[in-house]
Parts: sequence; structure tokens; C-alpha cells
Amino acid sequence: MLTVSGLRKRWGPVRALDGFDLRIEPGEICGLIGHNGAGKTTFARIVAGLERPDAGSVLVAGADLATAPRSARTLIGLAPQELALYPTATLRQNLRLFGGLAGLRRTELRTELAAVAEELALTDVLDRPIATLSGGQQRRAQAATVLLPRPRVLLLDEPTVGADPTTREALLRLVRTRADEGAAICYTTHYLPELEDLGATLAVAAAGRVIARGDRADLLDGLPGEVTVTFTGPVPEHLAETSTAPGELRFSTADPARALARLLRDLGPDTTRVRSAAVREPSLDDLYRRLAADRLPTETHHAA
Amino acid sequence: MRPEPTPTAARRTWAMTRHTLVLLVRDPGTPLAYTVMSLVLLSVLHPVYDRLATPAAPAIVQAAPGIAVMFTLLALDVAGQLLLSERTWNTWDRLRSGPATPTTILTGKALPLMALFLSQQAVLFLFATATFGFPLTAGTWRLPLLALLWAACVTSCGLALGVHARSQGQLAAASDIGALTITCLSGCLVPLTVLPHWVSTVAPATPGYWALHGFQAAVTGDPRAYAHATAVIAAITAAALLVAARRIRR
Repeated sequence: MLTVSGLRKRWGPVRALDGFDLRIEPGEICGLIGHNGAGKTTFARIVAGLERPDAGSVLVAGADLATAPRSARTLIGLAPQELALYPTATLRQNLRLFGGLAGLRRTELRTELAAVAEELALTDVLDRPIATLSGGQQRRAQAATVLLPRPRVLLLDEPTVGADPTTREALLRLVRTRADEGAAICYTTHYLPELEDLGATLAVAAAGRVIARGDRADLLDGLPGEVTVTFTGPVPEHLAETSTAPGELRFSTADPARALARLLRDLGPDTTRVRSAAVREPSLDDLYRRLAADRLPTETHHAA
Repeated sequence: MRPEPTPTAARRTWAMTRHTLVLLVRDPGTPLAYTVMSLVLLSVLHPVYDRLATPAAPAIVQAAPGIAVMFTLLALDVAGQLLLSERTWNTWDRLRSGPATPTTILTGKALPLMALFLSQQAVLFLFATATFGFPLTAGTWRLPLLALLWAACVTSCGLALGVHARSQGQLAAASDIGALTITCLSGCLVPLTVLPHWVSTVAPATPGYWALHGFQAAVTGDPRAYAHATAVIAAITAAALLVAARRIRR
């Protein structure tokens, strides 16, 4: 659905994109993660047609953004990170504009408008100016204007920034629904648990290119988890070397559950002094931190 | 996945036009003020124009078109503001990244503005006719046609200004200084006959001069002067639209 190949873009001496490749299939939510300056925003702006790449191509459902920009843009919905709505107009008027620009007919627009407002719990505020809505409502309103025309490719740039839990939950549910309907979704975020909730595949960007791409399980494979055990009194003498704090034992391991079982078995009489034991499986945060810190070279890419 | 909608340029233009109308109606203060101010100025200054009148140029034939041109020029910033606000609200990139073409966006912005400037002139001319005997009917079809063309001209100049302005201050400075300079140099506020000679020399370089002369030619029945004025205004309109469209194009 969305195929981006070899995108390059320079801003003066800065290489914002340096061979950025990404392919997102229909029905897929791809979580695009990376530190600030990794090229995520430049990528989104190029795909949305707001910037021209120095090299590379963008295909949207087969339409080349360079040679058939109108066809491509008709299929794309962009939700920028910052609020981008008309504050003096009501939510209904904003929705009518973006639905109308997407080419929805009057009856279709009315139906979709009511549906998206219902899904995002905005029905009661449809006739209020955007400026009078709460922050969470404004976030949902912005998402509604993007999701209303049901674009086939969605670019969501940190759509839940500043959103309250209810707003976040409603947005994620609707994003998941759109993906289930066949949309290809690129979801940029720094809040990694959202990607787990969405069941997203991952693309990790660094220095203007995608350095890791694949399923969450594939990418987390081999990353260490963590075991934490606290004791009443000091840590047993034979484990004192790995003690991180008085009465606490914490260590990283590839298989934390098995390591904990082995540890408890080997403790012998000291088992009675165990106050708590916890296992933390490797998370996206671990992956993100490792990749972003290490800037893994191209050879270590995980194939999509 | 739902079947692809069948968008048309007309539907998109209508959506943009309707939305521009909404924005104008939601914040009507400035255009309303300019309309009322033009009526006040005409009423107050009419005796002055009476004293300056000549047999060739009756007072109201100078005053009504002159003030109409002046206040539509002052409303340039309303047009510019419409585009500048898009940047302030971050909606400009959303419009540009959508399927609407620059032509659709500009047309959707221009149509309500033209209607606004046309209404502003209509109110003034009707007021001048009812109160001071402006020969409205003598203008036949020529007067409304020129009013429409002038509205288009001011709209396109305002949009060209709006796509280039980067801040509120920049826009205000350009539109206020521009409008006032054109008004003074074109003879709209004070007849050219009482201004220094050099002003008459530079006046034809201003669009206001051609609008004023076009309106006067429309009501005095001078088809040649009328045709000349409309041609110049049409050319300025086209040039300004081109500038705006080129800037807006990605």
C-alpha cells in the first residue's frame, strides 16, 4: 500500500533522510520510532507531499507521488503532531471541510461525520467552536478530521501527545478499526506501550534511515529481560556480588522467568527471606534504547 | 474498505468556499467596520466634495466611487488575513497535503471574499444613491460589472499578499501602507485636480486610479474610458492571481 524507497533529503549540511526505506501493507499498523532528528517528521512530510525528496520514490497504492501527486494525495490522511484545526469554526464545520475536500458527497459526509463523532465520543460537542473544547477533545477532534474520509494510508504523528487516558483509548480503538478495514497506518510515537496495544509492527529510524524493521517478537528476540528479588535482611552471601542495593538483587538475563526459578531453587534456606520476586520481560523501551543508543549498522537490520 | 469516493473539483471548491464563508461570518468585525466607516466618511465629507466639484465631475460621482475604492483597498488585509491565519492555525499544511489543488484552495478563498467586497461596494453605492443622488441607474450593467471586477482585483491582490506575508505585522504594514498610498495617489480620497501635478503623473500606476475612472466612466457613459479601465483592472487581477497561485503551488 505504501512503499517508500531510498528517500534522501538534505537541509543544507544536514542529511535528514539518507536512504529511508519503508513498506507498509494494507491492514498493517507500523509503529515508527526513533529519537528526535531520526528523520521521522521529514519522512512524513515527504509522504504527505509537503516536501520534495532529493532522491527516492513514494508509491501510494501504486500511485507515484512524483508523477501522480493528486492520485496519491487522495489516498493519504495526515495528522500532524500539533493541533491543526480552525479554532473559530465548530467541530462540525471542521469535519465538513476536511470531508468535503476529500470528496465525500453530502449524505456520505453526514453519515461518516455522525459515525466518527460517535466513535470518538464527540457527538455532544459537534456544534462547539474548537477553541472552546478541552485539550483531550481537541486531540480527538483532530483525529476525527483525519479519520473521517477513511484514507487508505494514514500518517499519524504522535496523535496522543497530551491526551488523557480516555482520549488515548478511544483513539487507539479507532486506529485499530481503520487498520482492520484495510488502511495502511504509519504511527509515529515515543510512547511505546501504545504500539503494543495496537499490535503494531515496528520500524526503528536513526540517522535518516530505517535500521530495524519487523514484528515486535522478532525484534525483541535476544534482548535481555530483568529479574529483581528483594530480601528481608541482606542478600545471601554467595550472591552479594550481584547485589544492586541493600537487600536487593537485580540482574539482566535472556530468559528471566527461567533464571528466577533457578535462583529460587538454589537459595535453599534463604528462600524464606525472600520478600518479593519480579520478572520483567524485554520491552520495546529496551529495544528502542539499545538501537537508538547503538545506532546499529545496516548489517544488523531485521528484514520485514 | 469502502469504495473510493468520487471527488470532483466542484465539490472540493464548494467545501472550501463554504468554509471560508463560515470563517468570515464568525469574525465579521473588520469588514463590517470598513462598510460602516465608508458610509460615515461619505456623509461627513460630502460637503467638502461639493466645494471641489467641477461641471465635468459632479461631487457624488467623485466621492462615492472614490470612497468605495478606498475602503475595499483597506479591506485588503481581510483577504490576506484569511491565508495568514491558516499558517497560525497550522491548517495550511493540511490543506496543501490534501487532494485539493492550489486552484481549488484559491478559488474557495476568493469567491466569498469577492462577494464580501461586492457587497461592501453595493451598500455604499445604494447609500450614495438614496442619500446624495448618485446616478446609479446611469451605470446600467457597467457599474455592477466593474464592481465585480474590482472586487476580484482586490481579492487577488489580498491573496497574493496573504501567501507572502509571514507575520501579522508584515501583513498589516503591507496592506495598510499599500492601501493608503494607492488611495492617496489614485485620487480616490482627494480629486487629482487639487493635488500636486506629480500625483496626476503617477496616478495611472495605481489600480485605484483605474477603478475610480472606470466607475466614473460607467455612470457618465464613456465607453472607451470604461473599456480601458476594465482591461487594466483585469490585467492586474490576473497578474496578482498568478503571483498567489505560483507561491501556493508546491
